[in-house]
Amino acid sequence: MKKNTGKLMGALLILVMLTGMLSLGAAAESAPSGTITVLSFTEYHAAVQAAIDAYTALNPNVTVNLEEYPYAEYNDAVTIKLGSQSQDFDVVMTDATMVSSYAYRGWISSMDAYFTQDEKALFASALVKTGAFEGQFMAPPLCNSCQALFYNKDLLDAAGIAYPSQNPAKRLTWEEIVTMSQQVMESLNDKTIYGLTFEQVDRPYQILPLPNSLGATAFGEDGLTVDGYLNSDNFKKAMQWYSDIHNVANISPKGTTAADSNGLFMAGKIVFLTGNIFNYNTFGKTEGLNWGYTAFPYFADGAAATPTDSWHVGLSSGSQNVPTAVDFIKYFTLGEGNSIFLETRGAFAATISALEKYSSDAKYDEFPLSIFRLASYEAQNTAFPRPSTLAYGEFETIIGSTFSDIRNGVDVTEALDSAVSQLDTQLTMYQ
Amino acid sequence: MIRQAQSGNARIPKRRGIRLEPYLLLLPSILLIGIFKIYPIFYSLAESFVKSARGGVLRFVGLDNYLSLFSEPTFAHSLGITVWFCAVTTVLQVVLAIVLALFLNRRSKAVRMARTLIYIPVSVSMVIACTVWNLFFSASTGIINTVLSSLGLREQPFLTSRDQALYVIMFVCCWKGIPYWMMFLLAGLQNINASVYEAAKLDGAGFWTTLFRITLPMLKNSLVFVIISDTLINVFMFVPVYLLTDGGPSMSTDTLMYEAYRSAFSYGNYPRAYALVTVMMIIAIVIAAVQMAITRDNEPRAARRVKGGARA
Amino acid sequence: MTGRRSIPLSILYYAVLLLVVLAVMLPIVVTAGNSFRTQDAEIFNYTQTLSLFTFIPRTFTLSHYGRLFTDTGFGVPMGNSMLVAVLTVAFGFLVNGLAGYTFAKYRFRGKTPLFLVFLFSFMIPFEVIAIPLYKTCSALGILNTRAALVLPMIGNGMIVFLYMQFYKDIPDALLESARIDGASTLRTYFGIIVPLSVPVIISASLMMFIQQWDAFLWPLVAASGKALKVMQVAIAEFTGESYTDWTLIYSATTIAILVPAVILIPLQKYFIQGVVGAGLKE
Repeated sequence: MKKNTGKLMGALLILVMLTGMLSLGAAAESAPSGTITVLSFTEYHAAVQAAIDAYTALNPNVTVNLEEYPYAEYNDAVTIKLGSQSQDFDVVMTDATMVSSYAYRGWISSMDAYFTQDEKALFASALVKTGAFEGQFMAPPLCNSCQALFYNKDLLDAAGIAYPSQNPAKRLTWEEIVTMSQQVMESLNDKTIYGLTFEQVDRPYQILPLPNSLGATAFGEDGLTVDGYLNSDNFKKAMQWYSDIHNVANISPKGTTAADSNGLFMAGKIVFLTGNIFNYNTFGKTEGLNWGYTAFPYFADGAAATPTDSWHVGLSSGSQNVPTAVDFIKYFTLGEGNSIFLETRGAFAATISALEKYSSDAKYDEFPLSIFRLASYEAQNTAFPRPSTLAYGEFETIIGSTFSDIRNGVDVTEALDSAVSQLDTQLTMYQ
Repeated sequence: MIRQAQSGNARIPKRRGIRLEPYLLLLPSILLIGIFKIYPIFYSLAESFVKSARGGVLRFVGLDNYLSLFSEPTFAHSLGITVWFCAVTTVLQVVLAIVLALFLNRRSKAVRMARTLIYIPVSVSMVIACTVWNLFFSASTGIINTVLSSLGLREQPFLTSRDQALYVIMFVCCWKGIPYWMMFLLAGLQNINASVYEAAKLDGAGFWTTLFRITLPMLKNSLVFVIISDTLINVFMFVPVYLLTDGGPSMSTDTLMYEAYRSAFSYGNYPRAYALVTVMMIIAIVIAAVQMAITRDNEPRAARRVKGGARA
Repeated sequence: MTGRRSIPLSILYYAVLLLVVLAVMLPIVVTAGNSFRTQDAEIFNYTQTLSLFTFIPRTFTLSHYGRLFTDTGFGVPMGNSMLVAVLTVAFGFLVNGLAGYTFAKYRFRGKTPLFLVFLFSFMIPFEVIAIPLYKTCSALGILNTRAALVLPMIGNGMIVFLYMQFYKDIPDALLESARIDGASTLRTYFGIIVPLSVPVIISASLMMFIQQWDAFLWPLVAASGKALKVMQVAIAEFTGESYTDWTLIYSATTIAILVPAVILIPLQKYFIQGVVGAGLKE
């Protein structure tokens, strides 16, 4: 009798476990243990390490190694490590635009088995889409980002121009920015002062919003066609404007790189700078810089299209400790680890509950933290993510050179046609 | 060149049959170079014959990657830039390195100090050299344009111009390369006995005769090293393009090596990258072989006579 | 080349010398100067209007060097780079020097093809073989150790080529007499060849030293742990996602330039005197 009860209990236990596994995912039941390695980048060190410390405090059986690379080399490093089918990595930080590419190459695994529909619904829905590839959920979002327009108050004062409003409904148009820039440059008559620059000059993240504002996109729906999109009339029109601010109106410096932009703004040499909202932190610490922010601009005959983009967390296909890796990823994107990360980094949230805090919590009433409230509005109303394509790496490289050529005065049609032809050559790889 | 090495008079090994000694002496280098250089190179070569598809699956495609490469307009364009860059830069670097080495081959305190300072770029990495020169050549914020405009001259677009960017890169390469190659030539010049020059002087040889009949021929072994190494390095020049121009403006600095890098790291298209590298290696091997054939034992008689005279 | 010159010619000579030195040194002076500027903004402020301060800082500060060593702990990556470079130079001298000697002075079967393979091995840029090399080191189990940084860089076809070309200049008669005296090969090599080859050994060692001192992509992926981080990787970390700490970069760069230069200066005298007395080529 006793024996039978034991057997029955055992069978029940197994049944419960099986059900548990089926409904909650394989990882949920087995206690996390062993070692996992996280690939991340240096700039996020403090925030990622804080989340890892909290995780290992909860799970003393787990050791988490953190391998970090500088942002600029992160993709090269990941390419070498995951491209060599290494089994040494479990968790991979993935830029939104690389999710498809990593998934296509088989470097990260589907997470459909580990995230329930309810869990996925906790993320802002646009980001769930960004983290998916061919209908499979590949990488949950860690944080989001949003662009705004920063301005130098002293330079505007010098020309007697009123500060732009923080109200997104009253954002500036690109045309207004040109006029205001010219006014400042004329009244100061200092050839080292420029009107406008982009934090990420020549990178699609901040330049694509120009055509996006006119309704033009770089790719067709399939993410593999550029002809007819990249060289459409509205795309050309936006790029002509980008060329003109450098070559006709001369309100923007030539020959600078993304590494120079913030330095120039902080040195008081730039009136308007488009940049990541995260800059509030550095600008606030810069002596002698009197700055403000407003929403990302748009074209007068177009609509607001604010660049937002997210970081995601992928599960390496070579992982030898999937249950623990998945457990950590959940903790890091949905659990307490996410709050710790956002708090330490001052990053912009990707979960709906955290986004709601920006409107409810009083600490976001005041400048400069109020920039998060603006970001939260933009994320829900005007967000325009980067193109979703397998060939983002190719696209970013080729279009980057194209934007740079346009900035240097190459004919817009010629530059865009050349980009289309180069991209077409590379895209055949996927067809 | 190799044959020349064998044809010398008093070689050490005199015994017949296969001797183990040279192989033993070479063993460490064969092992290290084999494992860490040759194996990866052949691995890369093999990948130029496959195509990778979804999930990283590989498929053998024969010469497809090469054929599609040759049909791209980019390829011919990049090939032209690579050859032009390599030819101009190598000639400039080698000739100026010789001039500088001769110029500094003097004994005086001032020259020794100057030599120390001129060696400093040798110890500056290419990455740092590019960062620093970018400060000078930047179009809007660069020091050179600041100087030009304050002198009332026209500002130049430099790295933002498709007509100037490649020459700026050549300049940076020369700034670092000339002192670098000079170092080896100077070391070679030290090997020439002063008595050789004395003998030449007694024979009434002028500056140019001494240069072409004695100095350069006696510097031959160092020169061969410098010319061949420099050419190969320039065929594969990469860092300045990567850091200064990204292949632009309008692809005017898009060398084969940069295209290969873009293929592998930005496009994730390894087969194309490896096909490009294979093409570059073939070019490099051909150039090196031609250079070796030209420089093979053509030591002029005059020099030999002088050498003989000096010995007597 | 060594004859006496007239006074005007001498003046011309030293004027040209001065010009060459200035042209070569200018960028280095500007870099060092920027490292003493009080803040990043100053770098941008003075590059745009010409004055003395375009080239040298208006107010000097050493604070960035303090920051470099205390806040970012730059000493550790510097020490790592030094150790890796010195190990590579030491092993590189033994391995490549002997190989160069063998190619220069021995006749053996397979010599030409083997030499071509060596030559071929140095052409290939590192970026191209990064992935297979990573796999190899992973298989050998040396990833994330100093061995992964040193071992792949020891065997160097270009250095072998360099040694070979210089050893060819050493008269065979010298080796022959050592042989007659009954000296072993290694003894002949270290006792006779090496002392005669100081300038080329310095050149080759400097080349290998700089290669490791500059190394970036390989150490980045092959030894990513904090304890093994090398200098160039540490410098790259001053460039962030959206902000670059230029004053730190310039101070670190100044150190990176000065260290090999300081090592080289006392070696200068070997370079100049070196084998002159020996008169190898006669």
